[in-house]
Amino acid sequence: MSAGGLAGVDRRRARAGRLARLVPLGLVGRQRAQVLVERNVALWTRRPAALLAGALEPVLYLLAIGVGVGGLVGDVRLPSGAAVSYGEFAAPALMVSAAMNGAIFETFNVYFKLRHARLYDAVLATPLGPRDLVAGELAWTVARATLYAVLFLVGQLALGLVASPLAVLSVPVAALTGFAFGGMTLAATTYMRSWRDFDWVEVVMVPLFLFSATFYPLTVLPGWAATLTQLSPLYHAVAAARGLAFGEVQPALLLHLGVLLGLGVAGAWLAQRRFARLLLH
Amino acid sequence: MSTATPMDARPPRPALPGRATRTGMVAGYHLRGLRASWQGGAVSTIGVPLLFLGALGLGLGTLVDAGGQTAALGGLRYAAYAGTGVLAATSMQTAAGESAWPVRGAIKHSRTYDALLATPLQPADLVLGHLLYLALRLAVPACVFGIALVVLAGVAPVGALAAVPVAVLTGMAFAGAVMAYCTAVEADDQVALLFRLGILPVFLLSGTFFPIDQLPGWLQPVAVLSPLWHAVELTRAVALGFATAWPWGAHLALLLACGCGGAVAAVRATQRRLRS
Repeated sequence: MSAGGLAGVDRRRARAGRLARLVPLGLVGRQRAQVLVERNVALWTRRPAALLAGALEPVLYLLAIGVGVGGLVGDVRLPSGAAVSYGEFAAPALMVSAAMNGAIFETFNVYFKLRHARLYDAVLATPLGPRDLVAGELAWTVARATLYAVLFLVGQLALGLVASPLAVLSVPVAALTGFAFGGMTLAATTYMRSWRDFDWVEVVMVPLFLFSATFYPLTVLPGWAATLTQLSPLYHAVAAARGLAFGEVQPALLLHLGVLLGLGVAGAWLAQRRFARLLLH
Repeated sequence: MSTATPMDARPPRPALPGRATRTGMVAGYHLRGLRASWQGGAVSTIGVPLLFLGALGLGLGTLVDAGGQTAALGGLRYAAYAGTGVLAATSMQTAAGESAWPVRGAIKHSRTYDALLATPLQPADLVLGHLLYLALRLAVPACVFGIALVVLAGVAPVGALAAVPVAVLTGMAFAGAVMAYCTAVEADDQVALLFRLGILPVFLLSGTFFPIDQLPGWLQPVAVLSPLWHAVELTRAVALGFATAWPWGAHLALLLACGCGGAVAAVRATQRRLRS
């Protein structure tokens, strides 16, 4: 590599470092884990097409479901009785679904780093511990989910599917969704034995995506199906995002947010324990 | 005494089997491979589309049917309308998936193709054999989905049966082109981008879930360019007696042309890549 190439690497590293500092890991007392975020930022900024394709996907869904199917459905009634267009109704749900998909798909990267690249062995040979490992990887997942949510909001605006400025509030719910599914995914990935186990990823994701009241209000379902739906973690993300985006805040909102936070924390805790067991002993 | 055998004393080389036999051999190789790994494929190519059908029928279908816009769907139940779309679209996705990573793996990673080419097989045999295998492979989920359409969406059994060959043809219309692309490109990222920027938009915007005249005006002519739109039109015509947008022969001819063109492109790409 030429000297100019090395200078280029230095410039890219400096830029990745600046971008990574936007993720406030210091707030959770894990400043050291910043280097893991920096690594992810450096990698992904070298593949902008892949990064942006991930952002485009949910907007395409919004175009198809919101605009295309929306024309067939007309208006949807919210719990308060207010009517919104179907596209406006579907948008917050599609935003949090995208955050879930992104977080779950990280499983392929994490598994590769854990079992093939042996990156985490290398990380744990530094002053970073299993908790830093989990904090750093999760922070990146949340940062990416947030970026995608913001870009989704821009797409939503462009398609004329923003009901009110409150729609901005679905972005932090998407970030929290990324945290919840990111934590669970990290933990689940440590149990994967081979690539064949990844067939289960689709088996988990598709039903969650389709049956979490994403595409229709809970009220159109028969009672048993509505009860089942409420067991889905994504349902809680959808309900929270919709409630906030349409300004229909009910006490249940705290439950929805609490479920997401709890799942994320539980996943993160289990993941750091598993990393310690797999890699340190 | 010399140990070397004179050339003319060697047994004559057996005659090379014909192209049809060689194609069949390659297809048989792929089919035998299924014995070890059919479970994962069964879940994703049969289970996932059935879930889509369930969600469309149970949830979204209720909304659409109550929305009173069924005139746009030719008076059909939404489950039948979208179900036939998903049948064609799934066949495309399965064909694209089977023509992308497995073929790339055989060329670049496991190098199975190198091993096969060390036999009398030629690059064209590998491509045609894989396509033949794929046509058989696509018929299985299409049959299962056809039964689901009859049970869950009220499609006539004869219509569902007629939709099976159309679904196979739909997959084949994409298989060759995807194979050619995945054989030609260098980076794995480019294969992932094909799915995210090519297959997914086609899946969503080809009249699968809604008539394309619901799209913004500038997108409608683009949707007409999608082979999947033609496949969906044809599927609805045979399964539901739906009137097609173009004469049905035109839709059929377009799909056949895509399939043959793709196969030729795949043979060329494979010959170029594996000639050493």
